[in-house]
Amino acid sequence: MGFIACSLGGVPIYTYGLCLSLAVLLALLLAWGNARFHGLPAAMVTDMVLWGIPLALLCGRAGYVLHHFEQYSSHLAEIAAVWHGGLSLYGMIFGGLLAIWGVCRVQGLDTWTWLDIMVPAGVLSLAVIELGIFALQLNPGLPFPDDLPNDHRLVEYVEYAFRPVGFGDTLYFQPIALYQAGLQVLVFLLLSLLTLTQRYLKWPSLPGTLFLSGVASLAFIRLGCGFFYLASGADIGAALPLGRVMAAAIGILAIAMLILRKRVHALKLY
Amino acid sequence: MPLFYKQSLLKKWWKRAALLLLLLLIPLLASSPKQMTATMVADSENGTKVMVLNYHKVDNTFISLAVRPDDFEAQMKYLSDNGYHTISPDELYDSLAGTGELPENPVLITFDDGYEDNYTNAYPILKKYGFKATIFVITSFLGKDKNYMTWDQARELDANGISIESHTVDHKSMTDLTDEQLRMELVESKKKAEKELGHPVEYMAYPTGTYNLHIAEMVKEAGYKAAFTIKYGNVDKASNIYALERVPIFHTEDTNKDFLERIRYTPIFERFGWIKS
Repeated sequence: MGFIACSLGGVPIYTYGLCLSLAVLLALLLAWGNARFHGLPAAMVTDMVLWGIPLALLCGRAGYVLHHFEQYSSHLAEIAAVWHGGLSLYGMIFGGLLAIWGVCRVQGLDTWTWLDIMVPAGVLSLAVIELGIFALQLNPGLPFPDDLPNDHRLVEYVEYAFRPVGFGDTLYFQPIALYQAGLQVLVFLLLSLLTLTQRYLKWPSLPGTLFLSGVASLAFIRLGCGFFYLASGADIGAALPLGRVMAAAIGILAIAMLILRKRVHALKLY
Repeated sequence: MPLFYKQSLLKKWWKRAALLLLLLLIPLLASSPKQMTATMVADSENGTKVMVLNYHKVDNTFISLAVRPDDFEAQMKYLSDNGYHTISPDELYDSLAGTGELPENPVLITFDDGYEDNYTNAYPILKKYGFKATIFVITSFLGKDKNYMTWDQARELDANGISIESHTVDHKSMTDLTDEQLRMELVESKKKAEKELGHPVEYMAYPTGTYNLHIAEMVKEAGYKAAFTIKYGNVDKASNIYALERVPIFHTEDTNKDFLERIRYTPIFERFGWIKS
């Protein structure tokens, strides 16, 4: 898959951007359907996504710039050039959550309920983005030796121009983005099932349970897959890469909140 | 349900239009989750980028190495219509050495091996557009194998703006050779071409594109000024003079579409650091 899908009048249309748009569109349709399924106004979903897109881009960019500030400190104008690449997925998720929280707060809605409504759509959109990352060879996993046995294992062949620095002669890498996307689809299916049980069986009854379960699952998937990432930070001497630290922290926090959900519910965080 | 939800139909459609606009805006802005460090290096620091196209055969045999004459003509027409200026290896070398200026949109058209169709099919098209080109010939094949051009044809091309350079004596992958064999391939092909053409031959292309730093050093020792690989990319001052990048053009399901994509996007790939990372 090409880095640039096509160009219109000389303006490049980026494949990664198309993946993001597709992910948002899928999330939007799914969340509209889910809101109606729960008898809630789908117009709220529109508002959340309308705020969510700019906030996600803004927070995604801010997250990336903060994490790699040494690259921008002498090129401050480059910070605005988002089309040059650099969007933190954590930042984008934070931006999306901020939009949900903000709309709920302004409209006086229950944030946990709406997080439950939005979480399956959000997880599916993450899987779509991860598939895009796999197709674009943006996140190859650990390298395989070239004399790979023909034992039907999944590998990712990375074209020369896309191989990470120092791996110009390595042909095959762990398809870690594909694994991650597959696991995220499983989480989506699990959340869809819980959505049905919540609607018809009133279980889980406590708002926020789906959201926290989804967050914990995604965080631990990211943590586990992180051990197979090539760009783990080991190359820059980091003993524990930030991505894995954050994933572990978020996962533990979500589990803790799940265990204490009655208390959390009592806090009425909206 | 809060009163807010009873929004007017107009407002509802405005919001959907805004949403659509945002969805369309994302593919224009979000190019990659990762920053490409090369973007912070201004193009001017490494000078003009030169595209070096790499062809092999120009005929109607359906193999990937053979671009059809119709496709080749369409590609040359595109270069001509879009303001590309063909250059010689000397012009490229002088520019990289800082002793010469390049025209706008420079492109170096190269052919590997020295097939006869380069003379019969490609040369008339190049002549039609007034284009220069460079052919890296396998010196022991010329005049002996009917698929390859003769030295008379090579001399005619050489006298008419098509540089003839070395592609070694036997086209053996250089990483499989001993030092003695390497020296023979490099020196003897140079001597043979110089004898046939009557002027120095100072550029070569690695057969099958394989090379390493040791081989590059031997190329230098043999008296060549520069060498071309099949490493994908454009040439600029950051390039290794004995491992210059090229953009290979093959026969594909849609040769001309792939050609356009390669020449349009290679500079963008480079700009974003995808090439030469």
